[in-house]
Amino acid sequence: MKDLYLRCALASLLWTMCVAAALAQGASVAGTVTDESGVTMPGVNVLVKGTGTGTATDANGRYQINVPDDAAVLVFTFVGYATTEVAVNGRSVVDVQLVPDVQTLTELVVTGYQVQRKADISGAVAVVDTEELQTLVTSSFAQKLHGRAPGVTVSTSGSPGDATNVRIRGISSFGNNDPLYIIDGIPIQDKGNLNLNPNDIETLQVLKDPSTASIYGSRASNGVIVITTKQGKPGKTKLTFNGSYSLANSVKGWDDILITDADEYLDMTEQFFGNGNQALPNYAVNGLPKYIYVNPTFTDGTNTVANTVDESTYDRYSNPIMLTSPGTNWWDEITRTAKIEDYYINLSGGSENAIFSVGAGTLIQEGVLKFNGFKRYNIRANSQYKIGSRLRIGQTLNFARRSIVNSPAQSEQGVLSQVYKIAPIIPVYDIGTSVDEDGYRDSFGGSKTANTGNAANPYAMLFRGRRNVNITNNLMGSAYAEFDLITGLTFKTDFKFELNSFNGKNFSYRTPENQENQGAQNFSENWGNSSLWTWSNTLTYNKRIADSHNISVLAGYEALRGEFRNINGSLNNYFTTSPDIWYINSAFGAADTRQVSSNGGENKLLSMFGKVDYSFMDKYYFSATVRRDGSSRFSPENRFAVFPAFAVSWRISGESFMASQSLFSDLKLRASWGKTGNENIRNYNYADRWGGTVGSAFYAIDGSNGSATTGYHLTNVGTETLGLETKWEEATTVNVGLDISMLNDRLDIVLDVYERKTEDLLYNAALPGTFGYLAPNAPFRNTASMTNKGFDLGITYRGSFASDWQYSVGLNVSRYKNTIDRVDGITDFFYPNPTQGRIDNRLPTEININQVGYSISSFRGYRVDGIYRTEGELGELDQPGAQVGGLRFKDLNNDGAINDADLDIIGSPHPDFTYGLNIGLSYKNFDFSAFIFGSQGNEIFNYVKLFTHFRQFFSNVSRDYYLKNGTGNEPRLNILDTSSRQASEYYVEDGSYLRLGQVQLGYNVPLPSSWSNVVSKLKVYVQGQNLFTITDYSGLDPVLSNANIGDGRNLNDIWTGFDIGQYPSNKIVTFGISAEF
Amino acid sequence: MKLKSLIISFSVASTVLLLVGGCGKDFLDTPVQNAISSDILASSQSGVEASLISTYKMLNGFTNTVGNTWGSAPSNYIFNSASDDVHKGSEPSDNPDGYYEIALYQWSAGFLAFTHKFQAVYEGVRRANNTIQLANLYAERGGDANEVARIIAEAKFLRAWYHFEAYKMWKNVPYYDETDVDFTKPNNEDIIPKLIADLESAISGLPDNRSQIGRVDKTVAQALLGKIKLYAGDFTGAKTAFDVVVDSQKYKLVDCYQDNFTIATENNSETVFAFQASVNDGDGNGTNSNFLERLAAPHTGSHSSCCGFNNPTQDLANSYRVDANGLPVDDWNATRVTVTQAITVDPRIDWTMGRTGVPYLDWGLHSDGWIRGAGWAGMYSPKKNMKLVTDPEGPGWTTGQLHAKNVQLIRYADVLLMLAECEVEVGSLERARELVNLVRERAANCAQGPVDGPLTVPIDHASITWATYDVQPWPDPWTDKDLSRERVRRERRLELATEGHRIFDLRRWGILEETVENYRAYESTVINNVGGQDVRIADLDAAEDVQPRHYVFPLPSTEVALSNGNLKQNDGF
Repeated sequence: MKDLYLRCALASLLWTMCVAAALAQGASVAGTVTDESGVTMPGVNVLVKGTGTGTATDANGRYQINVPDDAAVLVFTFVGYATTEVAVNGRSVVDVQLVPDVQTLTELVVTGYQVQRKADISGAVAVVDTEELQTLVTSSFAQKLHGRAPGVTVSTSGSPGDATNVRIRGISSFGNNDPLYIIDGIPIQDKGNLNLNPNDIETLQVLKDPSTASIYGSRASNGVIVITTKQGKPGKTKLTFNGSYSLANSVKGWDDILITDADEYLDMTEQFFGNGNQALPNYAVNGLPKYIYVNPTFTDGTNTVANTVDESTYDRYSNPIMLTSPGTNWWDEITRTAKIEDYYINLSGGSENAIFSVGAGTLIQEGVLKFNGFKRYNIRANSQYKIGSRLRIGQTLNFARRSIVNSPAQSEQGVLSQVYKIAPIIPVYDIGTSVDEDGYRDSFGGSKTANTGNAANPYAMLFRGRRNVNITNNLMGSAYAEFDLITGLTFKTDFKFELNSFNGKNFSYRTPENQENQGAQNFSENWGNSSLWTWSNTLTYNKRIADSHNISVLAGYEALRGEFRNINGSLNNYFTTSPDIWYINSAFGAADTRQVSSNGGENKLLSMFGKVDYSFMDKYYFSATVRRDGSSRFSPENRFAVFPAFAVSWRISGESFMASQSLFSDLKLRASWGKTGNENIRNYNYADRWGGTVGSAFYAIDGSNGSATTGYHLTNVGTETLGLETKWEEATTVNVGLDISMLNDRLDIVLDVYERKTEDLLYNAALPGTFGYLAPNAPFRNTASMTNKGFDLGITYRGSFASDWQYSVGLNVSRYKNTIDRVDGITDFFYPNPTQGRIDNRLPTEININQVGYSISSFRGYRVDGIYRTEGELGELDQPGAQVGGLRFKDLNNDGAINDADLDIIGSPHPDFTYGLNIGLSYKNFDFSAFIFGSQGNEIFNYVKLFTHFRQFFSNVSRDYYLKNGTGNEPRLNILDTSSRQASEYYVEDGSYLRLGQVQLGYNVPLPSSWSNVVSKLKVYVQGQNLFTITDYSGLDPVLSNANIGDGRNLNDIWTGFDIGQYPSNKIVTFGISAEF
Repeated sequence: MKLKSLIISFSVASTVLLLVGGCGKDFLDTPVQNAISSDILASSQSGVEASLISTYKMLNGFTNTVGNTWGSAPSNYIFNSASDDVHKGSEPSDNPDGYYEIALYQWSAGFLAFTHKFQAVYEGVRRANNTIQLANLYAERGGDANEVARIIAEAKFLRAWYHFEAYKMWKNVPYYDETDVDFTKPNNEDIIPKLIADLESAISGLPDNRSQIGRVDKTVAQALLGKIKLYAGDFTGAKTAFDVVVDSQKYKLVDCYQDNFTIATENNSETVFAFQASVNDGDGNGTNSNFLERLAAPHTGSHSSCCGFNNPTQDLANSYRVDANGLPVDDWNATRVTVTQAITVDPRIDWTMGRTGVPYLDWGLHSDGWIRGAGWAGMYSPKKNMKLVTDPEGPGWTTGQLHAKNVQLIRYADVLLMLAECEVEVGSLERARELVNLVRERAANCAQGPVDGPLTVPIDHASITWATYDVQPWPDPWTDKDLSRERVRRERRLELATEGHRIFDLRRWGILEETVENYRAYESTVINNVGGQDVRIADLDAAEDVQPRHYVFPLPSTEVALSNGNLKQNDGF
C-alpha cells in the first residue's frame, strides 16, 4: 500500500508517514540533533508537521518545541542533509541523527512509468542534485547540467535562449544525439528546453544505460533525462520565493584578440599588400586620411579617401561621409554588461487527499550583445487527488510564453562574425546626426570604401534587428488516473500533450554604409503550430512474498502522435521602416514580390512494453524489459522493432560474510545489457516526393520576364526508389557498475564501465553527385556502425573539520572513445551535409570527415611541414599558389605535388576525458560551494583563422598573429598567399580547458523563533559563474557550442569542435534570495 | 482464491489496456504531406510537361544547396576567368569556391565551384531522365503518342545539353540515361557518340518550329549537334548540322548588336537557345533571374553597388583596336586602347565593357570608382549582363542586381562563326569570309549612345566623344587557310567576349598555353592610375604556368571519392 502511494506521488523525495492520530494533550519535546558522525548540529530547522510551529537548534544542537499531541511528527531539515521525519509517539526527548542528502538506500528514482528505490536499480542512473543547479543563471535548465553528472556533457553558447546540445556518453548517432526528456511523463525531444522553468524542477535523473532507458525504447538510444516537477505536500500551505539579479559579460571579447588601433591596422595592411608586391589601398598610401569614404558617384574618378571634403554635400543614402576612426573597438561597441532578472514564486500544500503546487516565474535576460535578449513567463499548476481508497487522479499543466529578440546568426553573415571582419578604421557612425523615432542615432559608418572588406557594421546590424522577435507559446500538461484493481495490481491511464505556437518576424533595412549595400526594405514573417500527444496505459503488479522475494511487473501500451503546420511569407520594398506596417500587405511593398508558402507533417509511434523486476533478500536483483515500437517514419515493412534489456545486481554488502566489516556500508555490483532504438529521421523518408517551388522548378518557358510556368521535380528521393530499406537504428549497450558507500557513508563511489555499439546508424549521407543536386539531400539510410567505450566515475566525500565546519567534495570523471567501425555503401567514409564555408580546397563539410577506424567528425586536411623560406624551396614541391613565407604542406605520398592524396586525418574534437568538481563548505549559517568543470585532450578546428589570420575578405586580424607573422612557424601576411589558407593542421588547436563554472557564498539568515509563523527560511547568496578559464586555445571560447551549426539543427554533432566564432559563454555575477513562508 | 482473482483482474485489465490503446497497425499510416507522387504526375500530360519545365529550369544552374553555387552559373563566367578575356575581379580573398585560384591556374580538385557545376549539370540530367520515365509511364497509360514523343525529344535534347556542359568542363565524364540505377559509373568512355545519338533521336521527335521561345525544335537541336561535332573535331559533320540551321532561314542577325543584351529585345531572330530569366515571378529570392550571374556587376559607387567580378582585361580592350580599314590589327597589344577619339576601335568594345568616361548603358558615365580593386581587376566593368534603369528588378542583396536578362546560350552569330570555322577546315575559305562579314557588318550598325540618351546611336554619331568607331567587312578574298582560321577565331573573340565561350574555345583550338602566357606577359605590365597612385595588375605574377593538364578541369574530389574508385581523376590533378 505504501509503495502504491509512492507511485502516485511520483515526484516526491519525501513521503508521509501515515500515523493514526491519537488525541492527546499538547506537550513539550526536546532533544539534540547530530550528524552522521555524532557531531551536534546547530541551525537545524525543526518543524511540527502540518503546523506552522517550528524552531531551530541552538549552538549545541539542542532544540525544544511544543507539540499539539503525542502523535505529532517532527520534521528536521538542514541543507545538505536528508529531511528526516520522526514521530513523537508520546516521548518527551527525541534525539535525531541526520544523514547526508545522498542517501543511496532510500533515494527514489523515476525510471520510466515507475518509481524505484535507487538501491534496487541495476542500471546506470545519475541523480542530479537539483538544488545545486537551481541558482545557476541560464535560459534553459539543460544548460545547467554541464559537468554535473558523470557522462553528461553540454554544449551551448552565450546567446540568450539558444539551443543546447546535451550529450550522454558522447555521440552515438550520426543524426540525432539529443537525449529524450521525460517531463512529468511527457516525452520531449527539444534542443531548446526553454519552456520549463528550472525553478519548477523537483527531481532530475539521467538514465544512461538500456536497462533503465529501454523501457522508453524508441528514442532512448541517447539516454533519457527524467524530470518531475514540484508537487505539494500535505500539511501547511507553503509559499516559496526565489529571486535573483545578475550581471553578465562575455568570458572573453574579440577586443582581447583583434587589432583595435588604426595605426596598427594600417601597418598590418601595408604588410599584407606589400608582401605580395601589390599596390596599397588608397587609405593606406599616405597615412590615414581624414575621410575614408566620400562621394559615392565617383564622378571625379576614384575619390574614396580624402583629407578635405565638402561636408554639406552629405546625404545619408546618396552621399554618406564618414570620418576615419582612430581605432574603433567594435566588440566594445556592440556589447554591454547585461542584466538578468529571475523571479519565481510557488504556493504548495494540501491535505491527505488532495495536494497542489502552483508556481509562476519570469526570466528576463539581456544578451551581452546589445539589443539582444530573452524573456520567459510561465505558470505551472500540479495537483493530485485521492478518491476513495482505490482511485487516484492528478494533473500537471504548464504554460510558457517566451520570446527571443534579435537572436544572432552564428555564421559568417551573423553579427558576431562582422566584428572580426570589419576594420577598426571604420567609425560606428557617419557624420550624419539623424535619429530614429526612438532617439537613437541611425546613420552609420561602414565598409563602403574599396579594400575595406565586405563586413557589415555590427552595431548597425544589432540596432536594426532590435524589433525582430521570435515568440513561442507552449502549453504542456498531463492528466492521469490510477486505479487499484486488487491489492498490488494497479491500472493507470495517462494522457500527455504539448502544444506550441510560434511566430517570428524579421524586417531588413537598407544598408547604405555597406560595401554591397542592400537597397530595399523587406519583411518576412512565419507562423506555425505543433502538437504532440501521448497516451499511455499501464498495469503494474507488486508483490512481496515471504518478506524476501520482491516481484514487480509492468505492462503497458502507448500511442503518440505529433504534427506541425506552418506558414511563411515575405514582401519586399517597404516604403517605410515603421514597425506599425510590418504586415504582409501588398499595399506596403511591391506586390509582385510577395511570397507565401506553408508546410506540414505528422509522425506517430505505437508501442507495447513490459518489465519484470525481481529481488531476493535485497541482495540479488534481476530485471528484464522488452519494448516493441512502431514508427510511421519507416515504410510499413520496417516499422516495428523490439528492444530487450536485462540487468542483474548483487549487493555484496548484504551478504553475511560482510556483516562483520564496517568499512563498507553499501557495496553493490551491477551488470546490464540491452538495446535501444532511434527513429529520429524526417517524416516520409521512404517515399519519393515530387513538388517544387517557383525558384526550384518553375521556368519562364514562354520568354515572359515576370512569370514562370509551373514545373515539378523530385524534391526528395525515397529509399524505395534507390532499392533500399531503412529500418530502426539500434544501439546495444553493456554496462558494468559498482556502487560503494564506505567510511560511514562519508565516501560514495559510483563507477560505470560501458560499451555501446550502434548499428544501422541512420544518416542521409550524400549520394554521388551524378544523382544530381538531390545527392546531398539523400534519404536517411542505415549507413554505418560505431562503438563508444568509456567509463563514468563519480566520487563524493563528506566530512567535517570541527564541530562547525562541514565540507563535501564531489568529483566526476568521464571518458569515452568513439570509433566508426563500418560505413556501408560505396565508400568507407562519408561527409556531413553541406553548410556554407570559405576554405578554398575543401568544402567545410569535408573538413569534418567520418571515416572507418576514426572518431566521428575527425578533422581532415594537410599536414604542415614548416614555412617556405626561399624561392628555391618553392621549386621543390608543386603546391599550387604557394608563396615564400607561406605554409609548406607535407607531401605524404612523395609524388612531388600537393593534392588530394596528401590529405590526412589531422585532429579529433573528442576529449580524452571530461570532469566536474563540486566543493561544498558550510560553517554555521554560511555555506560556500564551488564548481569546476573541464575537458582535456580535445581539439578545435579554428575556422575563424581564415579571417583572423588569412584575411578572408580583408578582415581584421588577430593582434598576436600580426605581431608574430613571418616569424617562427607563423605564415607571413600576404595578399597573394592563397595556399596557406587551405585546410591544414594550422587551424587545429588544443581545445582543453578548465573553467570555474560556479562559485557561491550563501547565508542562511537566522530567524527569531517568533518569526517562524511567517518566515521559515531565508537565504541570501552571491554567486559567480564562469569567472575564469584556463586554456591555451587562441579563439574566443574553448567551450564551444555546436548546437546551431548544420542543417536543421539536427546534424550538428558532425560539427563538433568546429569554431565559426560562436556567441561566447557569459561570465555572470548574481545576487539572490530565497525564502519560504 | 486469491490467485484466481488476480488472474481474472489481470485478464480484464489487459483487455481494457489493449482496447484503449488498440488503434491497431493502421494508426501508423501517415499520408505524405505537401508533395505529390510520380504516379499522379504520370497520369496526365500536364504532369509530365511540368517535369519537362523543371528540366529546362536547370539551365540557370540553380541548385538548392546551402549558399550560392556560383560555379554552376549558366554562362560559366567563373571558369572563363582562366581565359584572356576577364579578370576574376573583386578582392583576392573574395574568393567564392576557388574562383580566384581558377583564374590563377592554382587549381585544386577540392574547389566547390567544380562540385557545384557537376551537381547542377547532373541534376539537369536527372530531371531529363525523370521526365523520360514519366513520359513512358504516361504512354503506357494511353497518353497521346505524339505529345509523348515530343516531350521525350525535348528531354533528350536537354540531357545532351547538360552532358555536353560536363564534357566541356572535364571531358572525361560518365553518361546517364533513364535506365541507370548505379550512380557510380566510370568515366572511361567517350560520351560524344551518346550525345549525338540523343540529339539525332531528339531531332526526329521535335517539331519544326517551337511553340514557345524557351523550347527547342529541330533547328536548335541541329545547332547543338553541330557544336558537339565541332568540339569532337568532326568539321564535316558539324558543317552539315550548321548548314541545316542556316538554310532553315529561321534566324537572322538583329540589326543592333546590343538588342541581344537588352531585356526588351533579347528574344529575337538571333535567339537560338537562351536561358529565359524571370523576376518577381513569385519567388522571393529571385532564383529565376540572372541569379548566379549577378556577381558580374559593378561595385560600390555604381548604381548596383554590387560585387565587382568578371572584369574585362586590357588585352581584350586592345583587341578591339582596328586599322585604318576598320579591320582587326594583329599586334593588338602594341598600342594600349584608352578612352580617346585618337584610337579607332570596334564599337562592340563599348557594348562589352564599362570604361571610365564612357556611358554605361543608361546608367550614366562609368567611373573608376566602380572598380573594386584595380590591382587585380583592371579598370573595366562587365556590361553585357546589366539591366537598363527602367527594367524591373528583383530582390538582390544590392540594388539593380537581379533582373530578367536572359543568358544567351546559343546565339545565331555564334552558329555563323562556328560554321565559319568548319568552312575554313573543309577548305571553303570564301564561304567563311562571307559568314564572318555578316557578323562584322552587323557590328557596324549601332554604338553606345551618349549619357543623356538615346541608348543606341549610329557609330559615327556626333555625340560620341570617347572613341572613334569603325568596323568593316573583310574586303579581299581569303586564300590562306591558316590566316583565315586566325581571322575567324579573332572574330569569335570580339563578337562573343564575356559570354562564357573563350576558355573552352582556347582549349579546343589547342592554343591555351601560348594565348594565356602572352596575355599574362602583357597584362601584368599594365599600369592604371587610380586616385593618383600607379597600380600594376600584379597578381598574375602569382599565376601557375599553363600546362597540358589545364586543357581540362579537375573533377570534383568529392565525386571522385564517392564513386567507389570508378571516376578517374583527370591527369595531373
